[in-house]
Amino acid sequence: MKIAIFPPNSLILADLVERKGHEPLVLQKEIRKKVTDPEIDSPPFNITEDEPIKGLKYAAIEVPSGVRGRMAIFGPLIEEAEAAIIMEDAPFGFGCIGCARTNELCMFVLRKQGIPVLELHYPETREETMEVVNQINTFLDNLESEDKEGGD
Amino acid sequence: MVKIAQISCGTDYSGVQKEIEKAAATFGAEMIIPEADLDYINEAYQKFGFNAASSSIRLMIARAMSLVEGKSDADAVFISTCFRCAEGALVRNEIRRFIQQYTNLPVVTYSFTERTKADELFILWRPYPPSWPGRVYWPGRNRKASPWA
Repeated sequence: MKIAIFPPNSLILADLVERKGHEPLVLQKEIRKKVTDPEIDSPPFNITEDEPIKGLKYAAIEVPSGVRGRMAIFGPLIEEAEAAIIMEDAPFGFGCIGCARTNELCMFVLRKQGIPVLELHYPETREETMEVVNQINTFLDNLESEDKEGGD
Repeated sequence: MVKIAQISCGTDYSGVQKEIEKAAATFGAEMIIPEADLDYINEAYQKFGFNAASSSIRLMIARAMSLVEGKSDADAVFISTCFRCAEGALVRNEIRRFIQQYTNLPVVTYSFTERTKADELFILWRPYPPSWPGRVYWPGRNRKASPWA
């Protein structure tokens, strides 16, 4: 299944999802598509004026261009997602897209999709970390069994 | 070459980074990014006292602090955030004040949209050529006493 993760560039969450045989929908893959184009118009991410305009699908014109530009990258991933894992209050070293307002919008759009969503708080202790990893694994296992039942 | 420190949030995702660099290159300048590592970001924004929610805004504060503390060197500063971002507008102004208080670096602030072009930025940068009377910048002489020294 395609799993959206939040923060969308968290390597730890992506790794946990991949270990369970699912496909993590990560920001890096989208950026890769942009920067491997033969023409690099606008370094570093090759995001041009068009992306904030595409972002109008997710946010109104009065929303800052940075939010719309980010949504133009992450919005299609959210639409593609069949389930989501949201890690709230994560420090920026864990993964971040730099803008708190975009975070709020992304989480809102994910919740609105009507897909299974696992919401977690960033663990601070060893015990909490083990608990969070267990919760993620259980969530992903349940998705797998639901998928098989649905397939039968 | 004149080094302009870029302290900004959202320029890459708005697609205006190239326009900023183009504007700088037209006047024989180059954009540089002041150094800040992960630990320094936390330290800097707590020292600065503005608890911003966005991590890129915290990074802006750390970059401004890096300039003021002399960890990075520049001849001028360009501060920029997205137009209509309230947090960005607040921090942009506070960073400008902070840099002007503790250094003699010329500062330009600007709020961009996705339609901002290099031509619009020329207007901002024209009043600050290195030969401008009263605004001659010598490397190492453009820093006032650090507030943390």
